[in-house]
Amino acid sequence: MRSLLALGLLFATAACTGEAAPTIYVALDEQFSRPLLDRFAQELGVDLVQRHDTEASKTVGLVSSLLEERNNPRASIFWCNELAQVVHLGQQGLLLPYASPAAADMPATWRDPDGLWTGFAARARILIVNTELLPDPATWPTSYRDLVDPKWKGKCAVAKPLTGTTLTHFAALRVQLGDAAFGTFVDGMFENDVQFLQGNGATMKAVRDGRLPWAFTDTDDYHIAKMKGHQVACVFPDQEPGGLGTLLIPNAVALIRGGPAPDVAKQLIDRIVSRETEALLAAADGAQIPLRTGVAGPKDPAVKQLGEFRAMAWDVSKTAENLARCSADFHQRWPK
Amino acid sequence: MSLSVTVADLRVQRPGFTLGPLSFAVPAGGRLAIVGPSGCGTTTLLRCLAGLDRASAGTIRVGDRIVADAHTHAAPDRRGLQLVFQDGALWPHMTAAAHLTFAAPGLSRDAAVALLARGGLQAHADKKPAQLSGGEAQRLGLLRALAPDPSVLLLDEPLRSVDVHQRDAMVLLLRTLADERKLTTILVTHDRDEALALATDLVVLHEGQLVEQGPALRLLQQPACAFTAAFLLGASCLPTTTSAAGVATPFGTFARPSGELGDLRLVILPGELRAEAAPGSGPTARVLTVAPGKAGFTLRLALGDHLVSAHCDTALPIGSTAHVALTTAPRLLPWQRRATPATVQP
Amino acid sequence: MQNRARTDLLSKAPLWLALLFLAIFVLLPMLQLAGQTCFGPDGFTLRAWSALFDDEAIATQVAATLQLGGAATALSLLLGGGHAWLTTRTDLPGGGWLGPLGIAPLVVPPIFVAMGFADLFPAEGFWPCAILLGVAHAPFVAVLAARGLRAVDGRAYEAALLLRGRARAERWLLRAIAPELLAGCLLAFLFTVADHGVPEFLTVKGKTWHTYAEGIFGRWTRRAVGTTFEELQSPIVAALPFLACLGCLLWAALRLRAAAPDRGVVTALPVRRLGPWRWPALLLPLGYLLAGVGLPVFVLLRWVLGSAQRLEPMSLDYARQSFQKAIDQGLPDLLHSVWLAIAVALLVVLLAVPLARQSGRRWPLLDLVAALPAAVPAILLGIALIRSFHDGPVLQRFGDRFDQSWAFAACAYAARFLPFAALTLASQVRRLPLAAEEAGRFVLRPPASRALRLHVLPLLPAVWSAWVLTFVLALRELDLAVVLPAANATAVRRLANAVHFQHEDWSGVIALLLLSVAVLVPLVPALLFGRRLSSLS
Repeated sequence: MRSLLALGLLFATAACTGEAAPTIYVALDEQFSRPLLDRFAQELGVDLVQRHDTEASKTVGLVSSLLEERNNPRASIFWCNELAQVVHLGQQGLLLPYASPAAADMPATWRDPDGLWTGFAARARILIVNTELLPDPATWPTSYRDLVDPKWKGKCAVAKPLTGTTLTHFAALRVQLGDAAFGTFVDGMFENDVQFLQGNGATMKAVRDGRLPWAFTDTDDYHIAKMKGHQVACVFPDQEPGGLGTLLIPNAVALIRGGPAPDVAKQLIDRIVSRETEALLAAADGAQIPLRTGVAGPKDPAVKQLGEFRAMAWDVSKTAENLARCSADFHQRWPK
Repeated sequence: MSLSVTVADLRVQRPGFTLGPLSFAVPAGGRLAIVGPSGCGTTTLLRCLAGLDRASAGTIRVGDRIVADAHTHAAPDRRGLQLVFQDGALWPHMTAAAHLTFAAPGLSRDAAVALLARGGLQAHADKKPAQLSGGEAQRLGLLRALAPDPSVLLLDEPLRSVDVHQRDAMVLLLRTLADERKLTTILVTHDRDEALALATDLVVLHEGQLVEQGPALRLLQQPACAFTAAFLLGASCLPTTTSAAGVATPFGTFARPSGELGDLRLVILPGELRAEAAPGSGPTARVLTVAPGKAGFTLRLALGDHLVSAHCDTALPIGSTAHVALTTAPRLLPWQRRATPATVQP
Repeated sequence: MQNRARTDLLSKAPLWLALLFLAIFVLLPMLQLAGQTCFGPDGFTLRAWSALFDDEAIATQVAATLQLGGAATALSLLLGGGHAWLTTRTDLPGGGWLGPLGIAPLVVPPIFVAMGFADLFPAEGFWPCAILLGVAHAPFVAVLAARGLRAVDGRAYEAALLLRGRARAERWLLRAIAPELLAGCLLAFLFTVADHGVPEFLTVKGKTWHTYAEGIFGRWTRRAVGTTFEELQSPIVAALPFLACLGCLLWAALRLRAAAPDRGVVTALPVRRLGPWRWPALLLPLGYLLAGVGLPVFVLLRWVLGSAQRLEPMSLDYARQSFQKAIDQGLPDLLHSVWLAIAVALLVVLLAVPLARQSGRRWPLLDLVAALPAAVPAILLGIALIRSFHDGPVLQRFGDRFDQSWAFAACAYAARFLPFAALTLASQVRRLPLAAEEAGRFVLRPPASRALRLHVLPLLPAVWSAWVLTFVLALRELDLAVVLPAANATAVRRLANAVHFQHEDWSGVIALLLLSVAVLVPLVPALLFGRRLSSLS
């Protein structure tokens, strides 16, 4: 009986957290984000609660949590690696404006005019190519349109656009191409036997392991495979004159309306969007592309710096508006 | 200090079974056995006395204190009594000495070992029940019950799991310890010999009813009902039919005894029947077994649907027909009667 | 008298606390979840339930789930039953030490088995998933079948052999162990169909079909993004009748196991000579252990040595780097997992003992209540708990941050694993002689002292087994770790994530350390006190 009471007391103590600590929801890979955040928290002298996403639920899981918690927010900050999702949250009124002075040198394209979010360090949607299967660069695919090229029938892959960057990518394409052209493109992919896998990790592994010659993935997936010595190359697609350009999906950080410890949260945001963070993320295994000029980029020259490639001029706001509709439609077209 | 136990109008209602109403009393230091065949309610009665089960009605007193009635149900440890369970009911994870020290707070290990020595278990003080024989386990169960120095000792068939050779030793131990402490003992058993070995007074139960009670000697010499004679003395009880002419039995018609006696039986005690090969006035019976006796032979016979014992000078062949006759005056007794409350003498 | 009433009340307090715990952490959340399926944005509606009949995806998911459960259970029966039969009944070389090892694959989280398979073979589609879940859950069958075979009296078997010949005697034997065998199969089925982590892992690997646990989770992750009320509720609506059936199955399984005769001292079954098959027969138990333990450990070791990269050959130097990374990256999660598992196991046994005593002695139907959480897929239980404690009308009162605390995670894990401990202990309580407990009621000591010395102490071996079982299950739990934010920082969740991100090297180290902890905990008492390991089964 006494032991039961003692345990109860212990649990009660554990459950009683006192004043709410600043809490950050993080969608970026935990291996990269945790050490950074630990360091920032130590510098600020705060106990920072970190909640990282899981590969099973991806960013959308955290977004769902934030939406569900809107009346009783648990998070102070959202660090998202899919910009459209943050914009979507802003449109839902979940974010509080904060224009970080540390991001004053960030190009305006990557900042919300109302200060609801600040972008930094981006990933690009690229084509990963197996150089053992396709040794000649002249034969490599160069565009998203290669997905519907009969030459690659059954030989290329893209993740199902249900979550993650592929959802953002396809939603942006839909806005860019218009519903009709996008519909034709999707029909073409199905006719061309494109392999729709469950995630970018899966497409990268299919190419890395030689099961497919090429696939769509993100720069971070490509870079880690390359670092580990696999025979893969990276193609920034749609670089031809007049081409659509390569989609760049930056990280974004935002202050949650009504979240705990907002003052500490702002200080933390200042550190997250700093030049130093961009440089660290570029140097890390994920090889994120800095959005500021003058910040050192990834060491691998295959992961190009901003300015070295044509970036897709996508309408973030419109894409975010369409995100829910796209998600619902894509679930119809790509049932799990 | 021993205490009396008084039971008044005790009833226990269970689905398909009713016990009581029962009334009896045991004075301080008295030794009572509650006997009856399996299923007659002896164990239920004992559990009610012990406080393990609740009675539906009635009163139980231990000394002057009411331990159970309509408003009271004292827990077993609040009744001042202890129970010796059928198979010892020992605690499998405790040593013999620990059984005693746990059962009696304040009892030192030395005192426990000394008490174990009384039961010849001193060498087993550190053994667990799995390492003891059936007889040793039963003795330990008895010593555990005695360790807290109870006022009343209840025993549930204490000799059942003891083999024939150890029974006498167990009886002696129990009697000695109970006498030393002047304990009030109440025993329930289905075994006549066990009851007679450990008690001076008997309460006979049948189908949940108290059929007879009194000193064991009187019940053995003068059973007041046929069931007692059958259970205690091994008597054969033959059914009868009563008419104006009297009571008809396989041995003839006899005068009806006086009083409201209900279901009358012809009670034949062992040795009261004689068998002959030659035809006589009595009924015939089939010989089932033949065993040599002190003078002649003892036959087991099938008399109609009933089994009877008879003496015979010669060994009749098994399966043959024998002619049987009573050697004493016929004894007509009611099958069972409601006994009046009585006090058992110490 | 008042004192006595107070002590009686105190002695009942653990039971009431345990029941309260079950109500708070299982019944109320599940009821709320069920209730929410009937309350849409416009108030009361049965749209979600009626949509169930129109949703082909639900039927597909349930059918896929049943197929997966059936196939995996058949394999569990083959491997576990075969292992038990060969090691218990035959003259298999090394059967004596191979027998207790039948439980070993239980220590390995199914996700590790999946990682091992996926690393060496193309792990796509139905059969790989069924095979590895069958292997991972075969210990339930192996342990229970072996227990059944040990409980059969060899004399009775020999009597059947003399009377009816070999074939009939073997059929008689099969009938004799049927309750144990069935209970093992049902447990394997239950764990298979409730598993979300493994099918999800293989999904990411490229599977094109999925189970209903995945369906539930898939829609839960999108619960606030572009889904309709019917869509959101449909997996839960589909799951509720399913889990009611599972609850009944589980209860039946555990009752069957409890009802299986415990004959005490029996003559062992006569050993069957395998003749020329004696050595070839070793392939089955060795194959089973290889698949369930050897293969995952082999793959993890390869990862640690650097098999997942192509820059340099596998080496001890690389392993050293892997360890260094593991200490930097995953050690806090591993420690968190261990502490969480210890707390969960402690909480579970403290709650299970009063529940087991009550169901073993007085309310057998309490088994059904205690079994319920085991029938609920962890993913669904996690969702129910989050919803209830985050914005539920009653449970939110626990505090604004309770659902973020590790105490909440421990309680959720405890709710999930309580049935196994409670039912194991209840069957042990039933085996203890009732008369010995009644004898304790005459002892002139406080009820708490009597309860501890006479009710709890005899259960200690079973309590230890329950503690170890819970500890191991908590250590390897992935589904709750994924759903509950408070349990995110656990080694298994981190590993499942890390492997997706190609961090196999240090993940392998953490996984091996996790396995070592799971193995060492049961070993410690064996080393310190000479306890037999077989007692854990």
